[in-house]
Amino acid sequence: MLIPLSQLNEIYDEIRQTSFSRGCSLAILVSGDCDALAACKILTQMLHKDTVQYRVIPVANYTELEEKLASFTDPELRCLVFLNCGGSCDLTQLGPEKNLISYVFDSERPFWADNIKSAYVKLIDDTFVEEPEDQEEEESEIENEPGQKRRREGREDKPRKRFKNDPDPTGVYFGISTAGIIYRLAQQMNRATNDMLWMWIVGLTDQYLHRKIDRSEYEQRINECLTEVLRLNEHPYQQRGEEAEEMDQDSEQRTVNGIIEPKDFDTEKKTPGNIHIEHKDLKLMLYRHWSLYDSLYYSDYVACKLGIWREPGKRRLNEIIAQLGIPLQECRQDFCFMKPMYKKTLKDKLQQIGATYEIEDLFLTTCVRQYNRKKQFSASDVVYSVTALLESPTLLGDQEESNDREKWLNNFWVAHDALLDVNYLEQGIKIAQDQQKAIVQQGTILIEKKAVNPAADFRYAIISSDSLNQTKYFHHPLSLKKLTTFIMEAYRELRSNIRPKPMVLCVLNTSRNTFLVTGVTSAVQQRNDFGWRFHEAAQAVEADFRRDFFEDTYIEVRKEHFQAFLEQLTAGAY
Amino acid sequence: MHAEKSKKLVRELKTSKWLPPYNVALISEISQDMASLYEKAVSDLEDRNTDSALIKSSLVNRNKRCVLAYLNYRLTKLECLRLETGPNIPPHFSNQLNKDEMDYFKQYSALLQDYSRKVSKSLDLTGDLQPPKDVFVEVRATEDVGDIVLPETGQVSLEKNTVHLLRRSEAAGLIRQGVLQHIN
Repeated sequence: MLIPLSQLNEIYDEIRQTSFSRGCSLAILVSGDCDALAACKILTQMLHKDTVQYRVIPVANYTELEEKLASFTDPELRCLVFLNCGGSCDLTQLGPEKNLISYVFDSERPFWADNIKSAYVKLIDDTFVEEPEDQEEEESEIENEPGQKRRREGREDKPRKRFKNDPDPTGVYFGISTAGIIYRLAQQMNRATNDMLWMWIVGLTDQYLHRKIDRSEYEQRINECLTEVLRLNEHPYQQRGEEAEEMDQDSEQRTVNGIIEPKDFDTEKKTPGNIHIEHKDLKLMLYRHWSLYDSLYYSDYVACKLGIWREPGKRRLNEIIAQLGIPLQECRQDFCFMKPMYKKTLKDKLQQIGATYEIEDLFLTTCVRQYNRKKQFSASDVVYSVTALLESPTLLGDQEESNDREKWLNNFWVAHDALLDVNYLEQGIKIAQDQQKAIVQQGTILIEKKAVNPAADFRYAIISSDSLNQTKYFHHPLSLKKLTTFIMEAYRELRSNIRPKPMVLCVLNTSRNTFLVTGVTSAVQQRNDFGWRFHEAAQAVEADFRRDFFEDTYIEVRKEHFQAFLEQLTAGAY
Repeated sequence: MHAEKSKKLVRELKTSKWLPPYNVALISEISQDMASLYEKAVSDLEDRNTDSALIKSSLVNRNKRCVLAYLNYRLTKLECLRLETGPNIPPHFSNQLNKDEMDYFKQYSALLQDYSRKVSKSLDLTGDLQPPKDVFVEVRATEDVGDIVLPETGQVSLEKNTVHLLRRSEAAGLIRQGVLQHIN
């Protein structure tokens, strides 16, 4: 059944009550994305304080989730909490069979209709408002409509029982971030801390950066965060206008006198843990930890707008830097070591110059956290870093791995710790930079080779060899999605006269002998129905496929069946 | 000849992670050296060569101090081990000890138990000196252990790479064994 946000603390109390006089009665299943990790962090902090014993189990995909659920033999176990997973799979059998109640916090919509009807499955939904009985029934009927097209599966007596349901033809879309919901829970109980707030901001930024919510929704949600930032932080703004100017003058005098003094040497504002608001933060990727030149060069937005992979594009980038009045040498060193006089004027100048080069959309409201006395990370830095750690093709830490799953689990925990740990974050940022370079290079190769083909209502490209070292990044779903988005955006800028279309990208994985395929829609707010299209195409040609990703826009097809699958897909029957 | 060997003996303590294996050979060599040095010192004295005798006697003292320091260090470590891990010596540690040290460990253990009984019946002297901040600790399993039953929590399935919130008292032993890793 659906639970409105106003009943969150009742849910939490229920979980807490169940754990009384029992041992470990709660299992938390976490999917591998930044938002879920952030939510997990908030939830475990609260449970720890309440001495509710729990266990946290990372799950990578639906197959794994199913195995885990089947393997629960623990007699004490009563509650399951799903973070960013579970909404679209069959959880109804867990209730009657094992006496387990499932609480599902999943930002992916729509939920599976059977789950909504079951009393054992509690789905937390931000759009749902509890109203009188008859209204509620109507609601569930509306939810049922798309379900009618599906075969009713998941019943014990039917032979075709499957755990993961068929995809919804209307496509998937995303609700409020899971970390946001859990933060709201903490807020309702007056237990929100700055750490938890930061997790919410990170979860929200993750949704925005991975194209799960669009710009206007992000702005709206971040404003909710900002009121909390103002409430919980003593110094929500790094510098106020007049103060800043005074300090700037001071610092100029100091440098004239030959004494080097940091510009804002104000210890109070650098209190570790402090979050401050940046109303106009540059939307350049990781620029705090990169050089300005690289950051401009590799940021999706700038790279696409300028067409950076061609000579004219590079020339235009150099022109921009010349107009900013920053020497190339300064520009190529780490941003944090750039002279303060250049940093100070950077935003204003970029805004002026941006208009002439058609890159106006360079600013975003975001928050920045002082991790320790030395290091600051913006929410987007954290998201890039944590995602890169999660999908890192190499093993992190000091453990020895035996297979892919072990590696994934190990990286999962590194990423989990990285949310609040500077050393891991920096490690992640290095990987994220390499990954972004790989995205731009690989994207460029595909566009220059004219490998992007048109189909009925989308475009597609195939990476049919993974001999290049950088291709290994794209065997992971989120990185593949980023690359697909990059190609789509770049293509749109390149051919401004043509209609924007969704983009499908297929990449070969030789070690698994499969193709991983994903599709992104041309506008973020559009529902993504590629999960359904892929499924139908694969079914039609009877291909061997795996479609157990939590975000339902991926499919993995066996190499031998790929050609037929692609033909079916591009034939445009759907 | 001079204090080289004793220096080597003491160095061994520093290079090993916990304790080096008990070096019988080196200790007996040192004691032979000391005996011969002593004899020479005595004969020097008879020859009225006091300077030489003085040097030799301080060499003997030096060696003695080194060997005693070696033994003392080992005994202190043993006592710490008793307080940390309880009355049984973990198997990978017992190779490093000689028979006398084992006896010492057992007797020390018995003494400690007697004393502990005398002080109070319910008090565990080997527990943490600092009071714990929290009843529960967050731990991550580093190996597949499978289902285990803990006295208060009940059944817990410790699979590799899952995180659990367990009682400090229950987790402490498993953390020492290296099955669980404490995270905060």
